[in-house]
Amino acid sequence: MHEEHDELIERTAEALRDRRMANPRLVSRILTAVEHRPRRWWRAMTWPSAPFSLTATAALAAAGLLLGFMTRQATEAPSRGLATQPGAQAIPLLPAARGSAEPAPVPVQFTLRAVRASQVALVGDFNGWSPTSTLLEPGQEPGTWSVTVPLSAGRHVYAFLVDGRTWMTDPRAQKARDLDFGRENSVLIVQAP
Amino acid sequence: MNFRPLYLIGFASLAAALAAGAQTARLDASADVGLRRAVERELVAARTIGLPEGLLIAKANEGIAKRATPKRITDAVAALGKRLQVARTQLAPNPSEDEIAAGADALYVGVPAPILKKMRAAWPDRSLALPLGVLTELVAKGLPATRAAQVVTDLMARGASNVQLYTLAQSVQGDVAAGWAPEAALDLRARGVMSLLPPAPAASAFTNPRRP
Repeated sequence: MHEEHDELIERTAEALRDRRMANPRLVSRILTAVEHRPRRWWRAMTWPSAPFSLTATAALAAAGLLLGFMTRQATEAPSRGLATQPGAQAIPLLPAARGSAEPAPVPVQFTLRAVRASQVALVGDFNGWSPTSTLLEPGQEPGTWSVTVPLSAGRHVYAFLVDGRTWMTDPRAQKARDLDFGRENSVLIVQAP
Repeated sequence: MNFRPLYLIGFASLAAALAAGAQTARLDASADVGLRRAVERELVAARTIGLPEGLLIAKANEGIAKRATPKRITDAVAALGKRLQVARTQLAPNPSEDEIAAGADALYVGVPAPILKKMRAAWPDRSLALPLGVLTELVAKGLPATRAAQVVTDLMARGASNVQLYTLAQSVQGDVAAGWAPEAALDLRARGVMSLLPPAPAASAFTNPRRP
């Protein structure tokens, strides 16, 4: 066993010696190139103008797009939702993940029946009460509206804003008094196991 | 071949998404100049002490959406700023934004500030967002704050899960809607949850809090 290894090492060393001796100009060129290699800080400065490889560029672009998409998802409510039975309800759709101090957000579906509405917005503490960021989509049955929003565990207050002016509480949710502004909100507790 | 456009597109989309996200924490465009200035003053005050500004902007937007007067909106934002500050102090050392918001909501319905500290002592390493939400809802349904806090904190100290606390709140809400007295409903439902938990230690976190 040892003899086999010794023989292999011997042969490899001989081959390397031959190769070095066979092309001294190549060795010289390599050493020159290494000596004149730009320093690390200079490479960092000139990096944007350096030619990019296809793989690195595509990976960078994909990472940027993915991060951008994820950021958008995290800061805006999703615009799609499922139409459900007539009436309004807020249903937690999935349990949140276990084992973290701050549980993962839970997708919650909000639905409303508003037959004459041309636009329904969901406003609440989870979207900064923005009347434009979370619009419900019409369902297949006329007058039904729905949106699904990821919510953190805890108590949330919300309402629907119909056609940009009519404040509507969720008919199937508990009500929360509002001493600040005098208009009731709906209230929902989202649980995370 | 030059692949720089791909690289630029990726980062441009990231910047666009970040900009879109930042818009959610902006004061509604329909706010008039006077209101905008008044809210900005509150935001500057909040910023100097490190309070989450987004919650204050959201409160102002809620008032705008409800067509409240600028004075009422400014007062509400200022009052929320004070509640956030108290909540953050009581929930120390490192409360999350969700916890601070939940603490401020609890204070809003009349939960005494020291109760927040006792809840933190009961769950030093877990998020209090849900227990605080449950407590807020129980008090909002008409239960005395100290009694509701005692029950919730005892359950937390006994090892109740978020699901059990959530179920307690839902059950009490249902009972009250069915005509039960809130306190009777709470006692009955709390006993039900307690029966599922391990035996109590010598004293609960609420009745005998840890001292520094």
